[in-house]
Amino acid sequence: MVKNLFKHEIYAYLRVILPMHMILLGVAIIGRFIQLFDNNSTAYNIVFWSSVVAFCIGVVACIMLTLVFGIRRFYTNLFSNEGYLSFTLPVTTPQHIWVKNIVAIISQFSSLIMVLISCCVISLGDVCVEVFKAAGYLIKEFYQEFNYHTILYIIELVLALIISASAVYMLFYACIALGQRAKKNRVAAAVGIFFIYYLIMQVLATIFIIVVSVFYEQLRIDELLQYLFDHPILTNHLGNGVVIVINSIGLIIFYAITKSTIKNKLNLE
Amino acid sequence: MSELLRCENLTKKYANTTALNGINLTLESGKIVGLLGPNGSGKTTLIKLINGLLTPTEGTILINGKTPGVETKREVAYLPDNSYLNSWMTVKQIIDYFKDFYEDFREDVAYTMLNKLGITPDVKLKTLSKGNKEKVCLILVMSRNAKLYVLDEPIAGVDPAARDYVISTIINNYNPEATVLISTHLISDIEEVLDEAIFIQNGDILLQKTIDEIREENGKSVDALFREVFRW
Amino acid sequence: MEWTLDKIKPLCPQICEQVCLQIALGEFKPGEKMFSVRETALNAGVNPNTVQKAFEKLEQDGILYSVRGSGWFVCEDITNAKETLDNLVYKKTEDYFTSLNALGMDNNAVKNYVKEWDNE
Repeated sequence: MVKNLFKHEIYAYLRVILPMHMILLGVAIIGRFIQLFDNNSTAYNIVFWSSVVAFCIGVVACIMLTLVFGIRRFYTNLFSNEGYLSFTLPVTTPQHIWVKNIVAIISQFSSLIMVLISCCVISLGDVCVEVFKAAGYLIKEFYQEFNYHTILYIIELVLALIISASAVYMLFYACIALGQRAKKNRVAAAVGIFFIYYLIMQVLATIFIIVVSVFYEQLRIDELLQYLFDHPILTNHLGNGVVIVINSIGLIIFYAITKSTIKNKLNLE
Repeated sequence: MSELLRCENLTKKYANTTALNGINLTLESGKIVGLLGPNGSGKTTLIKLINGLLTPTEGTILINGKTPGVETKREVAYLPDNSYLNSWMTVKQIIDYFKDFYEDFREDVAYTMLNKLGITPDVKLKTLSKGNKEKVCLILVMSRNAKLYVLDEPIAGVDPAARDYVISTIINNYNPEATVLISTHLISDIEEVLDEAIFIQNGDILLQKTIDEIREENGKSVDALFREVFRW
Repeated sequence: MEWTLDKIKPLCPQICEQVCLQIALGEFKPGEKMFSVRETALNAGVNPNTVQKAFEKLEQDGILYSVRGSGWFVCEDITNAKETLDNLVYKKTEDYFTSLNALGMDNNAVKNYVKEWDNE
């Protein structure tokens, strides 16, 4: 059943994401094509910079629309009229949530990869080669400095990315699910909940900064920073670890909220 | 005749209204049952509770002894009162969807019925007329070999020919051990097809009897009795 | 014969009666197979369970018999079905006379009237 849920979820994404990727790729190809006519004239420059701007907009749009589609899909498939079918399938609530979440992450990463590919396409030639050279050089330097830790960093980084992407989607799911408990204007309620959450996080962060600066001496922050500075390998792992742990905690909390709200309080009116 | 559905003290309250007021109800298998009541009487609420789309405020609901969940969803075929299909899908895609999720879905039965209507598999749902879209929904539901069919207002707003189509599709496809629960406020169209009628008003069950019992006791059709009971 | 069902009377006895009439009028011959329960239900526009009940009642009355796995058949002896037809004819005649009695005609006047009507 989960397999079929994945199949139909991926299909629903492909319908929307694939054409979007093709458009981005098309813009990149056109942009690269325009560069063939470089004659340094004003007309060329106008066309060239327009294509660059269009490409930049395309890149941002691709990433943003993927996010928006992932959030929208959760809402429409479960809480609009489509929910009547989704929630009468012999599928459990956790299966619904995780399949949606995982496919959303995959689509987000596929969009990222598509952006990278498009960047390569539009800069095909000397620029592209230079960028790859620089990247290769950086990785080599890094490897010399940190040795096998480089591979660990990359693994940690990818893990951190996946978990934080998952947590971001799950945060929106939780807001949407909680918004469903409102009597009316449920979408507005979801947005409201999101902003309240955001506000609370800001306040907590501010309090944290204030506490740290007020008790700078007592907490011996100086010594801590010096220690971290002296042990860069540890510091890097620690940094990744903190990101992973915080996002995991968020993910678990948002998931619990989403699941219990849908399971115990589902009200498709 | 075994017990298929049991509601005990089933209550559903919305913000400031009580949609179901502690009802007790038992349905046996092998029956076609009409859930009859005016708009806002609690019909759709009861149906959504059976399908697990709403959670009860109080009381219990058991389908084959199980509370609504994955197990009951395998056995209950539900036709909502609104259009709920992904309109970008083609007929074939929605059939594949049902086939993938419901083990009791009979693909051949669905295609035979669609064929009779002249609906081809590659047509998009959104290009179908409203009437045909409703028929496709009914075909999808009745192509399942379910234990309980729950049809919410299947004949509201359809012309007499379509209504006959709906009724014959139900009779032709339901399995004699299954129960069909049909909610409607248009009783005269459907009363001959029913075994039992349940009258529901303001969240209370007023009566649950067989059609012949009602006719015998009152000397009038169920429709006439309905009009009398629900006169305002 | 078209199915005509009265909306205010219980359905099961009406189905029984109509099936008897169909047999008495020769639509189904003795020993012949009936339409299936589901087909009959669709033709009559009623619930298959009602037809099933009616057929079972007719089996008790010795008008139909069932063969496991192949359906319902008309009995060789159809006296009971014919009796139903006779009863109906009798009842209709009675109703006719009663209704004309109410219009101030006695039975003889009605008979004369029928003759006159038939000659036209």
